[in-house]
Amino acid sequence: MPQPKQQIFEGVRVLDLVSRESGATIAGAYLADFGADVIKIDKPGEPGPALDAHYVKNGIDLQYKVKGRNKRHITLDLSKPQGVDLFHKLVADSDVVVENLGLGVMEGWGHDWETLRSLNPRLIFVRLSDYGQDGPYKNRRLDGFAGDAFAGFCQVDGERDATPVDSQMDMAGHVAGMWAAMSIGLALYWRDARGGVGQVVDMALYEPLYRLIQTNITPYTSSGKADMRYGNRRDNGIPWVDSHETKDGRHYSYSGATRATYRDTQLAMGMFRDPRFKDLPTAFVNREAFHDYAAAWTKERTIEEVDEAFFAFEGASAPCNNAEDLINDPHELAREHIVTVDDPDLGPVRMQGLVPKFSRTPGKVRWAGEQPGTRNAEVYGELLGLTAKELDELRAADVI
Amino acid sequence: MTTETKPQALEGIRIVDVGHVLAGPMTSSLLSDFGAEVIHVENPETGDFIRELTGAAGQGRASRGYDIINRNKRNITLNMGKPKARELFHKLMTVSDAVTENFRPYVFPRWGHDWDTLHSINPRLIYCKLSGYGATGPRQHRRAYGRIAEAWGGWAYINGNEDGPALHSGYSWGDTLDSLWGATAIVGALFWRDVQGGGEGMLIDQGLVEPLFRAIEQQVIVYDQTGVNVKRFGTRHEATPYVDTCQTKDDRYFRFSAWTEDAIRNLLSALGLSQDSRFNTFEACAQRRDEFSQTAQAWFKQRTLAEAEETFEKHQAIGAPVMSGEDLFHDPHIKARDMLVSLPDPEGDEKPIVMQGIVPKFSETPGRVRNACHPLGADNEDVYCGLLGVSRDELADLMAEGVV
Repeated sequence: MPQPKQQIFEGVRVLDLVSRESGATIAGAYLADFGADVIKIDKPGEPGPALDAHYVKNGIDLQYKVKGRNKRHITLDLSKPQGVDLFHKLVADSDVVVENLGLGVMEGWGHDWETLRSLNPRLIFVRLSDYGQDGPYKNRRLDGFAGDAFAGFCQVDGERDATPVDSQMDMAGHVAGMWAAMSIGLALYWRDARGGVGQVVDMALYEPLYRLIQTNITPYTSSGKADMRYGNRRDNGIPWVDSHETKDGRHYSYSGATRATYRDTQLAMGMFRDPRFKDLPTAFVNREAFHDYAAAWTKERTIEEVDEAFFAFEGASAPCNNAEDLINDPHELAREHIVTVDDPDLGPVRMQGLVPKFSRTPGKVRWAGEQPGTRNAEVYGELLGLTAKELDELRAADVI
Repeated sequence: MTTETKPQALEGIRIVDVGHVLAGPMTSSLLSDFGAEVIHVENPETGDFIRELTGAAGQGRASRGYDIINRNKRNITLNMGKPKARELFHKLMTVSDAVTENFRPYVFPRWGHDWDTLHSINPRLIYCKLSGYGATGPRQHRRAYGRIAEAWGGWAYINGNEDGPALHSGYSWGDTLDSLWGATAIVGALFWRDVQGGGEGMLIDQGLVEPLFRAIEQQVIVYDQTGVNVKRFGTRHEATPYVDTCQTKDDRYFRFSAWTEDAIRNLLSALGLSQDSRFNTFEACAQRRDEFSQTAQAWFKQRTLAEAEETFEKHQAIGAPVMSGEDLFHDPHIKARDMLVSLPDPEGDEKPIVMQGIVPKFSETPGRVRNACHPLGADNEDVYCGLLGVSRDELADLMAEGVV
């Protein structure tokens, strides 16, 4: 019996062509967290200067340190004849290609599915595009933030009767990237455990988030009622799912959505004996009074006092944390959620640890996201046997 | 081969779903799209609370939100707290590949289903334990639902207006993201078991609060390196001036976004601002965020949504309308991509149940949608008698005793 692999995706090689700004970079990062050899390919000279000023330190894109972690970074111009040749050699020796370069771009450079499949029939080719490979909108442009709008998320995010807002994370991009990771796992499983072959996976950027929003389609088609924004309240105005400001200026959310947690929410806030809220129907009639009581009760207490009161009655609730709250939190530390990585650009940096916890194959954060081409010598030497002299020539010709 | 005759990636994999409401049941539902056989276990007296919560029980069929969460499954009942149920459940575990649940961490052990027991019954079993805060650490015993994950994991803090409260949306983002991470983890554990020489199942311990915390990539490192918390920014984005949502002449909303030099060039060209030195470099525009917002808002206010969409497509600028369920249901692109499927109602209503199609499109192993959510206990005979070899008389006794 051969020894089991130490990590889930050990020995699986992924060529990652997902652009650095996209939240879908999580596809490669997730697989790399759990052992895959993910080779991130940047075009020589790209990306240009990091534009998102707030997330930049000394010219370094901070967010990419997390997005690109555990990946080996090389440069390659996939459009030049020598680059095509090198890419095809890499493809022959890989399991997965994942790309979001835009419709027809790979084909234009000679990397169509028929060619790649002939080089490697076991290849899994994930085509992540804005609107998918076909359909009337295929020539329109989308990214994760606009994707949140098209997927149906923004419609339900915001205050009542106000402009729809969005969060600061690339939700559609992240969900698409995780969906790609799941799909790669499924395609690998079918190929290797079921005697299958390689295949193409076609996914539009917004489709996974659209698929996840369980309130989008069926409730509308069965009731005829369109979804809308209701701030922190629910559409029917129930006040036992809400969020309020504390005495110390923080926010606390509770969710008494079930019969038991509704009771626990009331107990926590000392309103159980109040006749206005004696049972669910009565409390619903008096929902504005319930809301005002809860808001006033929270405002009189610090976040610790509120959290303690809810814990005492097993309420489903939590403070609205920011990074500062989380980074030193005893629970987060106990779960090993904050890891420190030594980075050549920044020195020691703290970032998120591994999620989830696999009992047999725990995964590892080995290094942070690298500069383009950091591992050219290592990867081209190890996989294609290129010498330092050959690499110099390729560099001089702007191929790598 | 047609889609109907092609193989499915998870054919022959059986998952038992003891989940309730959303995060647990959605996890197995995602995998059922790709051929996994899922058996959903519900309490015989109450059923999964989602049936009541999404407006079915006693309220007619107001909003069948649970169908998308529980499609493709077989539904059985089992009162997990009863001693006889333990035996039946363990029998079910011997013929299954994975089990998922989303109770607090102590609940399964209390019923006699701790990891060591399950592992000894069936060493190949994968146990996906989706609790609120994970099965270790000081907050492990606390309750959490989707909104609690959004609060704790740092997401509510970065959602909402700058001067408003931390905000939740009307959609169960925390729960459904947890289910995507859970499903992905199960696929990974299957791959390790059957392909990577593992041979055995494993325990997956994932807190509902954890995927979101991991997903917000910027939050920890930006604070660690700059001492500043990432904060909510309404319709805009803190890191770039080139993201916003504007209202059109016909009262729709349109969201645009640009993060690369190419995308910024195309956006400015669509808005007719290519030559405008107030906005045509990142640095200049970042200094005049409000002015740029007002200029963009005025541009959209003069155009219908259709006009805005046409101009954006022409200039290859990135943007999309804010879509409601109604808009999506009527959209030609959604239809062309097979993103809507229509299923017969298992409860006999003539009106079909419409829901999302299959994502993504696999060329060799396309997924399939088989059925909407079956009624409570509809598959008891099929599973108990057909799969576990319980006789019909025994099943009748178990039902009379309230075990099934």
